[in-house]
Amino acid sequence: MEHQALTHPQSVAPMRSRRSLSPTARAWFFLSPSMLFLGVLIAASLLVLRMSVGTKGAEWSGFSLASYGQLLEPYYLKSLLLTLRLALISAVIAVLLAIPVAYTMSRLASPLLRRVFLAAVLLPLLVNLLLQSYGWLVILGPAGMLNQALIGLGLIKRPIMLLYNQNGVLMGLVQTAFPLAVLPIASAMRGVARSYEEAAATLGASRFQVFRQVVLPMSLPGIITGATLVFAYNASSFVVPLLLGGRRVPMLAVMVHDQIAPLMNWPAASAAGVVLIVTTLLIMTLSEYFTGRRRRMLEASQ
Amino acid sequence: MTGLILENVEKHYGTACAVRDVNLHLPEGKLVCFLGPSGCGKTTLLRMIAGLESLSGGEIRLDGEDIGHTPAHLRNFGMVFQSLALFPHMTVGENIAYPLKLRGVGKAEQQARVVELLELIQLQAMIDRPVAKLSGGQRQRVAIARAIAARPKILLLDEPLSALDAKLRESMQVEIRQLQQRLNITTILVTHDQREAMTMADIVVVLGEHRVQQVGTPIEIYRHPANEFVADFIGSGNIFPATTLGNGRVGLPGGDTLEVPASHSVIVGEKIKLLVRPEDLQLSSPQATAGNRLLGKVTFVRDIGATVETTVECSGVSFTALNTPCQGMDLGIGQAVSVTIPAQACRLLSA
Amino acid sequence: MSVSSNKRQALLPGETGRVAGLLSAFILLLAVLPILTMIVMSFSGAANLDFPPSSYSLQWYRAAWHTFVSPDASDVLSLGQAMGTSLLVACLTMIFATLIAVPAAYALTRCEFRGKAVALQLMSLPLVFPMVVLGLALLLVFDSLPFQMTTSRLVIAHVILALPFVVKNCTAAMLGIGSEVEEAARMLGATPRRAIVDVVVPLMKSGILAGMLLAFIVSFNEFTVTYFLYTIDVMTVPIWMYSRTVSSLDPTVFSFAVLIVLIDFVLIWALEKLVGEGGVSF
Repeated sequence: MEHQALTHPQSVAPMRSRRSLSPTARAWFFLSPSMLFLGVLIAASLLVLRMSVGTKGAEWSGFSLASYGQLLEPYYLKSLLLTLRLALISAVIAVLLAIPVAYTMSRLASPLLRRVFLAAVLLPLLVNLLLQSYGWLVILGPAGMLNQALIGLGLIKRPIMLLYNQNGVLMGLVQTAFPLAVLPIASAMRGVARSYEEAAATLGASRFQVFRQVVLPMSLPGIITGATLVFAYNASSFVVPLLLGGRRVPMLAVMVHDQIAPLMNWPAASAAGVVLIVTTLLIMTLSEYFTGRRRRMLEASQ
Repeated sequence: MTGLILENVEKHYGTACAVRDVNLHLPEGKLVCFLGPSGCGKTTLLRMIAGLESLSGGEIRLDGEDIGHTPAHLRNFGMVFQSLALFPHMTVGENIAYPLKLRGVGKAEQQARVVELLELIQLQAMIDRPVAKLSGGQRQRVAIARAIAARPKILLLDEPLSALDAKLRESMQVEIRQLQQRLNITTILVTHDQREAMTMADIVVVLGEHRVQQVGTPIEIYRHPANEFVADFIGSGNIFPATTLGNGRVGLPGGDTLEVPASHSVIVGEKIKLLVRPEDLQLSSPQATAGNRLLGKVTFVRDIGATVETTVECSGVSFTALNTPCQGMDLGIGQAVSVTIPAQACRLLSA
Repeated sequence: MSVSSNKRQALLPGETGRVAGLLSAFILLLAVLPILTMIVMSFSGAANLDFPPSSYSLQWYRAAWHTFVSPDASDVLSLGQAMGTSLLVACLTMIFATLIAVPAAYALTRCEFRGKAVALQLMSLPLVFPMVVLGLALLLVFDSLPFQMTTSRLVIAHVILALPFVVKNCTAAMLGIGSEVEEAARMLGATPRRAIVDVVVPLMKSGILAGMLLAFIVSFNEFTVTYFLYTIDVMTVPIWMYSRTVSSLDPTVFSFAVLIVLIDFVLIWALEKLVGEGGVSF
């Protein structure tokens, strides 16, 4: 076989002088459309920040810290503490419930079961929170499923109030944020190769010990991420306290909305919003710091 | 000057240096092998020739033309990747025709070239198969056919056989070498397998510690390693410290002396390294030390059927001798034995 | 040490036991309980919200159908209009989010560049950003603009919310391809752009589709941010439902909800099929 040029001559001409864009410039060029949208988000947050130090009636020109001062009043302070407490408790419960589910999901062999499990995890995350709250109204109502079950079991004599108080809201918060705990934990547990479990078993660890001493510590970054996501998500939860708490569980996000819709107090709403942003970013940064350290340690030994 | 010339080629990543001051001339039509341990920079060097990595310094010239900054797609080099990188969403035929399509070759001509290449690799029947349905060896051949479809000026092979099992690898080595000679295409092969390099290459470039250690034919590299790194990396060798005594003699750590090729030792009392290939050592029943014959004791025997490796300790160093079973003497561990080291088999390396 | 005399094969390390499996299934059942409850309620024959319903019928579906074909005069907007808006916004969100996410995912996987850590952080920001604040902030932005935006402001908000999901899925798909096929295309003579179009995009098709589906689902189900941004004549289905039920919960809503859940379930099922073994990336 003869080996001769099949190429068109012009395509071979070297282009030595044309130095293309620097890699950094090229990458940011590709990122620019996304950054345009994220820029809207950032610009909007800055507007909120500006608004929060404005005064009612002169939102753009005034300057006062009165809105932040107002947040220190007992009523608002209580709301802030309530928000943080509910977010924290819901994060703990969600993670505790998520650990067995995540472990089972990460070790399921049947593809069909895996899909069913994943669908059951994704539905509460993706289906409209409003619809799920309607379901909770039916479950928690005075003649609802839970009261009937408790009466049936003989635990209570008369229906107890579950709706429009913290218990109902807490249940709703745990259920709607549950997927956010399962997904990172399951992915972390999938990353723990079965050979580690096998190694521990050959060294004499019982099944529980294997789980407790090998799988759990190795998936800690996922667990921290899951807990953080649930906390951040629920700290700014709006629909669940709105529908299941009525106006009686005033979480911060509901207050933000109330400041606008009936009260038209933009600076107050913005100040509460800034508190929400700061809380979220703080907890995310902390979690990033801890998981980052843990992950580097785990990766270094592999 | 024709062929591919590399001049002072360098690659840095930040402060880390991946390739340092490489100067090479790769003549036309030859198969050149970059041989070295993993992490020595051989793949980086190949990728710079391909245009997939930028040069930190130096020049690459092809037939007198500077191509160091030409984008990869304009160089018209064929390349076979370690993962083969066949396109899984295309059939065998589409994979091979892809470079032709990019060059605006007509449909009929594309088809003819694909058929021609499939004949060359003896996979005519596979033209419409998806690549996922091929065996490892078949994929290997398709990757090569695709790389040479547009008649590239140079063929680059980045450890292309590493995914194959040992037996298939050996036959593919021969096949690729024959194909390369038939097409007379300048080829660069990157490998860490010295057997592969010896089988296939016209010229071997030994790379180590990010620089070129030696360039030569496979036999030159094996027989006359330029330094300890090459001697150690190529083949198995007995390398041990010695001191020059003048008059073509060296002293061993245990006090015995050996005769070596005279021209080498110049300065008396210099610490050097001595290389003796295992197959050059002769074992015999214990006799008195005389000339280049030393008395030692067997410490380990490895009989792997085709050859017998005997480790002998004498004069404070450990030698490994390689014999065929019929030359063997059924030695056991602890037995006394004489080792003869022919003077012309000794290589002196600067320490 | 005692050797178990059980005939049954002992569990191997890494296998989950029956207890763990059942426990997980039970927890997951609780997680979807509100949705299941709502589905059961939609078939109720009674007029109250007692569970389980005293009788079953399709009366609420009939009522829902009636609402759909001949809207109440009291409703400012018909369900049909809301459904139209919802679908339009979801489709536009899907298209825009995908168009901007694919190049972003390319940059994040294939390029080493200054500011990459910042870019990665920014990309996941909408996931953790308080939705109420996002709604409030966007309302501030859009209200201060000199011109009116109605549908488009919903699309912009939804694209921001969906972006992390789409980028994550595209990134995962691109990582799965590896860089060698793209380099191979370039060695064969393809320009960098041609290599992306000919090789990278076709190979990450399922990842892109998964991202598109997720963007659609996120937009279709979004409530909180939309609640701040909707206008009286442009509202999505969730807002329409909420406006109907502010005063009292009416079981016709359950029939609509079942329809939405059904759509969601089909989309999620399709999503899982597309993404396959690796699972959806979040």
